[in-house]
Amino acid sequence: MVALVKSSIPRGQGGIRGWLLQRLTGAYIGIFSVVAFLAVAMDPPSDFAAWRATLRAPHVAACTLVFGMAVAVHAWIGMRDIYTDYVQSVLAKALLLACTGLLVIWLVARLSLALFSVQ
Amino acid sequence: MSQSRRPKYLSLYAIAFQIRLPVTGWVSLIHRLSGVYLLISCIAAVCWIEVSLRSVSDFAMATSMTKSPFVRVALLLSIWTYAHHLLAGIRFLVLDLDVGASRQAAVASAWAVHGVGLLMVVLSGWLLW
Repeated sequence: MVALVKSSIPRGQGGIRGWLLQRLTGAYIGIFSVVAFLAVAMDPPSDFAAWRATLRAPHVAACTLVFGMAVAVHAWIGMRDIYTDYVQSVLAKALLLACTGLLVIWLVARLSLALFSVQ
Repeated sequence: MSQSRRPKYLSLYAIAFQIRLPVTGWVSLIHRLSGVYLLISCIAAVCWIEVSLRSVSDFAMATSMTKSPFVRVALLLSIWTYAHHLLAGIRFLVLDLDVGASRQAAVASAWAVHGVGLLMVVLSGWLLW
């Protein structure tokens, strides 16, 4: 089994943990998106009320939120790998990672608002 | 230039224009590029969902937007990008399990990613419209 060693070097979800997280989130994303796409394509919502009721139903909204969070984690790790490979400057990489972090957090926040805000 | 034994991370320019990439390399590169594209397109997707849930008139606008040919082409492109990213990802997962790691198998699975991806796009287009 993987030895969990405490390290003082911050890896930003890199290494084995990042590898595993990317696979797990990828699996959830893949399954969710295929199921969701087929559900919507084969039985499209007839009007606003139907669409809203479907998407905001507790179990659908919850799974969709988890989907959003999975995408955030998956994309963050993916972008981190890209920056690690192609960005030499530590400052540039830090800035890019910060922007990417803000972007994914914003995405999850907007999605949560759309799904759960009282309206 | 000093001889260095440390691994060199090739520039995107070199990869795209100077080195002849085998199909497996292309699948890997497109996997990365499609990931970036998908992240950017999430912005539009989240905004669309938000608008579609806001009110009856907003929902009408959101759905009528999907009828425009321009939007449909963009959607199909996004579906292709997503299908490719998903299939290439699955291919990597299978390779992680040491299945199909021989050169011939890897090249075959790479071509399969391209083929099945296109099939998925056609199927999606048919299902949707």
